[in-house]
Order: sequence, then structure tokens, then C-alpha cells
Amino acid sequence: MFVSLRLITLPPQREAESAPLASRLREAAAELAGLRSCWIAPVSPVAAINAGHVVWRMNFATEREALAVTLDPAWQGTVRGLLDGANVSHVGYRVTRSAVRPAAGGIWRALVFRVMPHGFPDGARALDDALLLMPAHVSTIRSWALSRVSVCEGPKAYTHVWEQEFDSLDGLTGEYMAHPVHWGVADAFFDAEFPEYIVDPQLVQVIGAIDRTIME
Amino acid sequence: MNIFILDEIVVKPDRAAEYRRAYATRYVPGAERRGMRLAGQWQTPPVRDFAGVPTTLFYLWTVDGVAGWWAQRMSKLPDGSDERFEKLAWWQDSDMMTLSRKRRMLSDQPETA
Repeated sequence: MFVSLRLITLPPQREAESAPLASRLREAAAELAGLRSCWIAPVSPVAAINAGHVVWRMNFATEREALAVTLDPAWQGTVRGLLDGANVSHVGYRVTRSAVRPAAGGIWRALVFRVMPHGFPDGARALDDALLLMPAHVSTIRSWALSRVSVCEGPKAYTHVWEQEFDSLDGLTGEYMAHPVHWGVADAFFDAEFPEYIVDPQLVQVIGAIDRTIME
Repeated sequence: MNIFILDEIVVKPDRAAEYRRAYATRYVPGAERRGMRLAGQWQTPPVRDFAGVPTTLFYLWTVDGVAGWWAQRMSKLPDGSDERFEKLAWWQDSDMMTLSRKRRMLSDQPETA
């Protein structure tokens, strides 16, 4: 499984277009070859950090198919025009560490971040281990994936994508944030006060409403 | 729930007095503004610093539960901007005086049957 995740930021005078843009992108995406599944939604403004206005997550079988999609006639003919004038950050990643429990509606949340160069390899490995503790202990995480980025386009060289699905936003803002394995263990890598600090503060938190599991 | 934040800082030989002054004047006021309360400060070797020997300093802070912990973590400057860069600047500057440093989160022990 290879995921392409695009975060689309509209210019200030077009910010109100996020819902119609998401709808038109959905129509265009239906014509793209190689796509196994796709989810496009306006970004929830709740707890959003540098997330832009529209989030587009595509599942492909292989990285080759993901990279080929921008040459697809439907992309060249429609998608490119829809994205004209917007800033698009794109990360592509193979999903190797994940657990998915298919479920109905809820929210999907991703933290997209960059481990700074001094964090490799030891700090990044310790960060992975700390994050992977969370689904084992935070009961509200129903699906998750921790992925290393292999394709990155945009202003920031992101290295990681940490995704979860919850039954509701409360699962994120409640138990996930309050759990001691979060603030007592994993957060050290994100907190500038810790010697373990390795995550660039210019990160992305993106949340969107889902009507079914979008992580395969 | 009581949450404690313990700084354990190994200071280079002959820099301990300088470090203690810097911590007291550059770090403590901001931390207190963020809701942290200094519960104790200790050192080893005890009593005094010894020439040519590293001194390890311990600073124990408390915050008001998980909400207090996140309040200090996500703190803002008076103008509403993110304070993390000021916090990072302090630690980067002061780490020039140290050999190593740990920060650990502590709590009361769970009750045993």
C-alpha cells in the first residue's frame, strides 16, 4: 500500500471554495487510473496546524502508480486546473506499520512532521518506538499508521506521517492528549525543552470527518 | 494528579555557580509564568562545588495535573505567539555549560493493593 497525501492551501480570497473544490476533485479523482481508494475533504478547522483547506488522501498499490498519477489524462485535463493557484504539499509513503479496524464514521487525523537531521538515526528510531506505544495504550485509537515519507513535494522536507482514526474528536482531544504515555513519553521528541527534541516545530496537524475507515 | 518535572543537569567543571545564576534569572521566571512551581533544587556533590569536578543539579517542578502540564507545554508569549522558540533558545544557550541533561516526567506511584 502506498499513500499519496496532499494538503491544499487556497489563497486568501479563495478560502471559501474549499467545499466546492473538494467536490470537484472527487469527481475528477474518479477518472484517475491506478487509484484503489480516495478520500477528499475540507480540513476541519478544529485543532488544525498548517493544514491548509482541503486534504486529499489516495491509496495506491505501488509507489510507481502513485507517481504516475499526475501524468494521467484526467489529472492533466482537470485536476491540474483545479489546483492552479493553490499551494500543494504532497507526501507519499509506503504503509508498513499499521493496524486498521474498519469502522463507520469518525475522524481521521494525521501529524505530518520532519525529524531534523541531527535526529537521525537514533532519535528517529526512539521516536518511532515512543509513538508506537500509543495505540497499545490509548483505547480511543481505532486505526493507526506510522510511516516514513519517501516522496515529498512542497516547502518542507517532511519525514514522517502519523495517522489515526477515532470514533469522534473527543477520542483525540480527550484520552489521546491526557494519556501519560503521550505527555510523559512520546511528547519529549516534540518539546523544545527536552534533550530528546528532534521534531521541527513547523509541522502539520490535519483532521477531517470520515464516514468510514479510509486507512486500508 | 500531581505531575512533577525533574531536570537533571550535569554541569561542566567550574561552571556550576554560573549555571545556577543563569537558571534562576533566565529560566525560572518564565517557567513560573507558565504555571510551573519550583518544589526543590538540589545538587551533587553536596554542599559545595569542587574545582575540576562536574556538578549535577536537580530542579523539581510541579504543575496542576494534565491540564497544567499542557498549559506549560503549549505556552504563548504575551503577544500570543508561540513561546517554544524562546524556551529552545534558553536550553541551547545553557547547554553550552553542560555535559548532559535529562528531563523526566514523574507522578505519584499508583496505589498498590
